[in-house]
Amino acid sequence: MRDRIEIYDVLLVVTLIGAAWRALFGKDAFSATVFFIVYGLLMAMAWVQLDAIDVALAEACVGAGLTGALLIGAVRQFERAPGARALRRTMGLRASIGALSLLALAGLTASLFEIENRRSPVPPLVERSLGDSGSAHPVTAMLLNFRAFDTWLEIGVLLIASLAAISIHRLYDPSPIEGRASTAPTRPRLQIQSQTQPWIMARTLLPLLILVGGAMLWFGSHAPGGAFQSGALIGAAGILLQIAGGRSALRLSSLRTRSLLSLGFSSFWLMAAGALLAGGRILEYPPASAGAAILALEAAATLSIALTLNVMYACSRPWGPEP
Amino acid sequence: MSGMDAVSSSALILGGFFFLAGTVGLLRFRDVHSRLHALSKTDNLGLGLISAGLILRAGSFPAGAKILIIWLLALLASAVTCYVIAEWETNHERQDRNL
Repeated sequence: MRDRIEIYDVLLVVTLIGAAWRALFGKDAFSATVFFIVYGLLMAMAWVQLDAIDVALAEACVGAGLTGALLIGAVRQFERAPGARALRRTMGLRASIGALSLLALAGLTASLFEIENRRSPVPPLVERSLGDSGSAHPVTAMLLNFRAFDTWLEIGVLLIASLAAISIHRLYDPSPIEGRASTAPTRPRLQIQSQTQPWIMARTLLPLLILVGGAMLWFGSHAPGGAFQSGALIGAAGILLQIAGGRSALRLSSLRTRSLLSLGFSSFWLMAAGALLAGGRILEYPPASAGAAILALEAAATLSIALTLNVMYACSRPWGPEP
Repeated sequence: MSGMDAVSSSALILGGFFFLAGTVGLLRFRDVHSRLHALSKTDNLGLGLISAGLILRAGSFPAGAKILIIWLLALLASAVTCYVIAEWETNHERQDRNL
């Protein structure tokens, strides 16, 4: 990291604050969302300035790209829904949100001073144990080995989020639940021919996106990259297919969807249980096969993350996914 | 070398201008098709000019080739997604009119 502050850094921070301001106080929901995406991309550039390439990639893929797509879907649904304007925030709610935000700001500011005042013992520790971790990239070693427990719980949060999205979608979906897709495929409300131009174009682009996503996953073992970035790319490929009309590909009730959604979490679970049964500590891989274990966990997590993003996007669309 | 630098800088600045114009268009235009028009201009010309400017500064052949590949990937993705979204919107407009 450089010690000097350059004009570029100052410009970046000023633009970041400006984008955040417009995202919060934009003239309508759509422009606020656009500024939220701009904010995410600028944030990614700020992470690059701080030499945190992994975080920058994740921020650009997930923070700006996919969250932006989800938010735009929500905005469109909000604009079309009759009576949605009635969901005005009350004064009390505003006050409590403001108070909570101030509390979070105070906590973050306090942690800033703590970082300043003590040298973290972690980087040299990671440097010393990198050889045993099964990964040549310190960030991957941290996420998938030293603190794999945290990543496991993160994948769990994603699983819970996707289940919540499905549940909320079911709650508001007018179509009856008993018509489970596995037995009786419901007729899509919007019929799109499966051989139209966009469908063919999207299908052509799909292998390329999956290839880039796979490369991103593979790079994670020795360079910035990994499950979250790769999952976001493959998830984006799936969302492209959804927009192009491949809606029938995603059936929320099917065993395939459910098992793929939980694949990441259950792989971590199996790995943890295996390590415990073998007499080790939880998620402690044998150093000889640590590289393979990390790659397997990352691959499983990638698939689950990609599908989770697709499920969320499908649930945010006005007519939703197949039941 | 300074001539190359000048060409590179003007390409970067011009590319930045197209990004600015595209973003303003995205915010100001009212319907999906016009917004797509603004965005695809940005992807083609803006990113193209910035890539060209950066390739001139890349220093080594592999670095320049990588930038070129990134631009081509973005171009392909932009063309496909733009078409897909436009088609999707047209279908919806048609459906809304028929209801």
